[in-house]
Amino acid sequence: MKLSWKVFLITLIITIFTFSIGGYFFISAVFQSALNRESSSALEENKMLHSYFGAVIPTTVTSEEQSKVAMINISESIISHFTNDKLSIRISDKAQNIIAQSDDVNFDINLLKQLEDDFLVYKTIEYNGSYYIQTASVLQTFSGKIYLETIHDISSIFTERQNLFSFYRKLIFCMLVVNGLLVFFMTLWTLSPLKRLSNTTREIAKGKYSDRVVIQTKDEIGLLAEDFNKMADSLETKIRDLEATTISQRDFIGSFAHEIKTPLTSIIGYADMLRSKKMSEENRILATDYIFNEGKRLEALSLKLFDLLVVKNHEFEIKEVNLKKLFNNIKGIMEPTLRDSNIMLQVFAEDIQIRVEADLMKTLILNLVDNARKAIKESGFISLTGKRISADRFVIIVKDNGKGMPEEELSRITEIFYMVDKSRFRDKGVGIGLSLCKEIVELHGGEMKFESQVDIGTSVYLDLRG
Amino acid sequence: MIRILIVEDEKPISDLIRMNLFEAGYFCDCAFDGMAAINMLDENKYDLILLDILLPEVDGYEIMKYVRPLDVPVIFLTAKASVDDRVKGLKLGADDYLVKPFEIVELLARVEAVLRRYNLSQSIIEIGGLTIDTKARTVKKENLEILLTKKEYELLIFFISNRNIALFRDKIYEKIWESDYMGDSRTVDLHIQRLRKKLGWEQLIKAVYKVGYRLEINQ
Repeated sequence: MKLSWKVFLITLIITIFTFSIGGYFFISAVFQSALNRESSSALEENKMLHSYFGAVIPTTVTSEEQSKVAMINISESIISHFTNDKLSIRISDKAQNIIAQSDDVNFDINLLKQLEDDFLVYKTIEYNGSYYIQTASVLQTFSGKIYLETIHDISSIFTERQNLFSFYRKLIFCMLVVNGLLVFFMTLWTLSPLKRLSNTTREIAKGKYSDRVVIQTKDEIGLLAEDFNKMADSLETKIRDLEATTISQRDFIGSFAHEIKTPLTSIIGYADMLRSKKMSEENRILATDYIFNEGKRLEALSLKLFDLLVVKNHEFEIKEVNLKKLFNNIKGIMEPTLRDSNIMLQVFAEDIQIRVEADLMKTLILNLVDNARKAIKESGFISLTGKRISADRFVIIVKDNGKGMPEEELSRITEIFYMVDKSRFRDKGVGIGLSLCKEIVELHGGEMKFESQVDIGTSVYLDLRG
Repeated sequence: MIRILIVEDEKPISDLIRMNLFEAGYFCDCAFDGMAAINMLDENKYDLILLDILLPEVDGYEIMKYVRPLDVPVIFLTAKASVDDRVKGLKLGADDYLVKPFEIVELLARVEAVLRRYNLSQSIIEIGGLTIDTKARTVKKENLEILLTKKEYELLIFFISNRNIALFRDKIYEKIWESDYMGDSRTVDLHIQRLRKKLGWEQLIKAVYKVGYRLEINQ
């Protein structure tokens, strides 16, 4: 069952139930007070008759016969005098034999039995669909007890109660209709945001992650919608991230396959030629040379990939290293290669201790210096600067005056297998170096920034912790 | 002479293809990037283009769009082996594709197949004293017809299109009998014996020690 129906029915049932109970008690209370009023007035009447009887009864004792006749006379005169269409009276002697009575009203005999000690009692009786109050009192006379009973017709208050009930039933029915309509529209109105929320949820489930729900109210549903939107936001970000990761992984596999297959094609092709053809000496040397070089390329690729895997998946020991010593070490390693290309490497290092993973830091700087060398090709300057900028941070700047890169390339150069120089006559690069650098920099809680201008040069800024 | 344009940015691979196609009797030009390829297509007329997909500047798919109106057959060279990539190439109008790494025999076979489809391969081949009419499927020696069975004829054509290349027994078996080579079957050897005898090519079809046969002919 829908929530709106539940709310609708429950509200309706509760309303009807409370009003019914309340109405019942209210009507009963009204009835009870009317009944009380009637009964006290009936008792008053009885008392009045009682004192009247007491006043007119003869006090002198005559003969039994005489007094009996006198009693009957008095009784009959009282009855004829006081009886009306609402009130009937009965008078009986000590043996409860009726002396006189008005009309043919049915008196309840049991009431007299309760009268033993009390002076005055009453009870409500039903007879032939009408309601009465019967009262009884006892009067002491010289010739013994006299019982005085009255019966008062109170059917009207019962009828009134009946009328009230039936009126109330009609009222409740009207309320049911009016209330029902009101509650129905109220629930629809209150729950309509939920419907929108559920529609949006369904849209999101279908894959429209950018869908949001628009609910302005400040109630719980509004808050829920707000939270829902927040959840959808973070979900969307997560999914976009995941998608990006999937795409980059797919790209990686694609590029990787390409990088592997290209040298393999040459190796397999030339090997196939060597095994199946008679080749000239010149071609044979060319073929074997290609096989060797492409094999070397595969080796370089696998080594770099291995480096990258190691950086990605291992924990490292951070040690204190002297920055100046590190730079001089790098200069020593690079110098022979640089001298061949007629490149000057200038080192400016503060004599400070840095806390880094030494081997990785060396790999990082070597890679950057080697990139600078490739950018220069022939004759130029590379400067390597290192200094501390705060208690726990230092910067390294590698600057060259090589051919530079266009701005639009800068954002992509750290992607794996990405190469600015796409022609394959390049310098044995495999397109992993900067990815590796990026990983190492991230490992040292740092940032790597590039500034470059075509034909002027490139600067790499490393801001590292340690 | 059939003229082929090789568009491939990897020099070793480009050289590999060029050397083999040249020896098979084709004339080849090489382009190392997309722009160069388009310039060469403007200047010369080619019978076939071997086109790498990942190229600097203009990629293979772009070149394909440029080539299509020229009605020149194209074979894609690709390192991407996924069905999507192959379908994309074929949809753009490529006639065939060759997945890297490939073997020389496969390269030659595909080149030949595409050329044949365009009726560009020679229908009369004169080689080693034979005159072969590939349309009539007849082989003549000094104007006398030599009767060959279907398998022998296919074997002959296979050798001629792969002249000077050692053909391995399993390759021959797979190509001519179109089923997997089961190891020591003598079928290949028996057919080659008979073919040699019929053609008088005992000296030309040489056994390559242990592995197979090679048609050694200079032409």
